[in-house]
Amino acid sequence: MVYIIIGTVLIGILAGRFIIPEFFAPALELVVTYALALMIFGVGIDIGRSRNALSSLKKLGWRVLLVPLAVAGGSLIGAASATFVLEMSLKEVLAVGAGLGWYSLSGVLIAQMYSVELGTIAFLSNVFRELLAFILIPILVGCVGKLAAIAPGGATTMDSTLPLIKKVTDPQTALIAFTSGFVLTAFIPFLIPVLLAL
Amino acid sequence: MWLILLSLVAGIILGAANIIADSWFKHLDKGITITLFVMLVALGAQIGINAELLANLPLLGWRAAVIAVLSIGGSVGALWLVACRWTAYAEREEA
Repeated sequence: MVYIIIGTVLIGILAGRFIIPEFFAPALELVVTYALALMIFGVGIDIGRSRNALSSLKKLGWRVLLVPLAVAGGSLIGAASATFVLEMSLKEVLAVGAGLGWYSLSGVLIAQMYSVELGTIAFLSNVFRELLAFILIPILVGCVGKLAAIAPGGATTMDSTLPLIKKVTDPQTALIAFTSGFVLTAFIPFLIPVLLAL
Repeated sequence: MWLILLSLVAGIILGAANIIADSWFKHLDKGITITLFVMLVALGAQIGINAELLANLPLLGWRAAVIAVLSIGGSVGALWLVACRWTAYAEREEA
């Protein structure tokens, strides 16, 4: 599955580089948006008919919020440690890490609020995070556990990585992943400006 | 954002209404997988089509990759700790 996913993205990159003309970019964005909506609709049907998962989530209660809290907190601690490796300030690495995989928003927001260079790093870093998430999720399910496999996806676990999480875990974990992704997605537009203001 | 939320809510309502025959769910799983690959090709093409992004990859890519890897490592570690506590709590409740 992992190799197929890497191969699929590589085919896309090569097609974008050599075959698809540049004016096709808005159409690609539309394809991604509607493919995502269609996929999420299918995932929703699967979640909706899984009554056991819904009742389990009710039983989990507030504890489910520990998941996005751990994902955000862990990501920021990890990003902060990058200051020991890179010549970047603490607030710069924190702002990039706070994108949590949402590359379109974090790149534009940071470019506008801080600098185009940091915005580009944020865009690339969160593209990498999403791509790495597609590779790591199936591996982590076997090595670390179903719940920990949610972590690499960050905010993307409410959309693009959700179908993969659902495929390699179970409907209950997929529901926790969606809730975590949703909370993080709502949190990021507030978190990045606060970190840049430090 | 809203399109995604609406799609999910509509899907959940349709699934919970239990009006879809079981035989259709095999096709649904196949459909989700096909759509995932269409999206991955389109995502790759979005990266490949952006000449500026490709030219900047060697320059800024190293920094971006380091932050991405460390962020993922931190989040997996933190969530692993939560999962361990979660399991211990569930076992205490059962006992």
